[in-house]
Amino acid sequence: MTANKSEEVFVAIRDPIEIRRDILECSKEVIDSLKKFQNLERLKAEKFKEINSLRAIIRDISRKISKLKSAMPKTKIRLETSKAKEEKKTEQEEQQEEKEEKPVEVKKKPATEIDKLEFELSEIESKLNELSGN
Amino acid sequence: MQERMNNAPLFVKVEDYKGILGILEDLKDKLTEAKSTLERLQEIRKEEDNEFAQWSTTLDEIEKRMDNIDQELLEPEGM
Repeated sequence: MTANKSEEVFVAIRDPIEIRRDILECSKEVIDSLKKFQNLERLKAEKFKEINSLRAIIRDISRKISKLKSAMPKTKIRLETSKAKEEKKTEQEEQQEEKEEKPVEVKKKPATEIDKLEFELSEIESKLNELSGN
Repeated sequence: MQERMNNAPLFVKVEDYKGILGILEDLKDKLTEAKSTLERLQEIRKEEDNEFAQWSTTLDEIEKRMDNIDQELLEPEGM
């Protein structure tokens, strides 16, 4: 044991104070990073809250637009022209023929939120097309 | 006849009209609210970007110090 001790080799470090300072600075910066992480978590929580609030507002806007739509007078001003009537008649005939050929498909109700929104969008688009057609 | 019907004025009951105006006013308020929420979200995104940039700078600083320590320890005096 004593023989081993006499053979021990030491390495001199040129600037130990500088190394110690570097280590302390590193440790300070790591703690600073952790503090930043806390701040980021706070921002994330706030963002989540704001997104939820925005979603609620947009839903409210959607409800109010529907309310506005229903508050408008339900008067069909436009008269159907004879040509439009004929077109409608032929379309109905075609649809009836198709119904006779094919078994009746059950229209599925929209399952997810996105499906529901897509369904609403397609309905609005078809209404817009009807309006521009007139 | 049809053209006349298309251009015919539409009469709305005063009560209904007031109701419609009220809904429009509510809609305007909601839109303002939505806009300010969106602005806050944009601010948060900017703050987040800033935090990430600062994080990157700190990590670069730590890396530089680690390199210094590494150099000092790998090339000690008298070796």
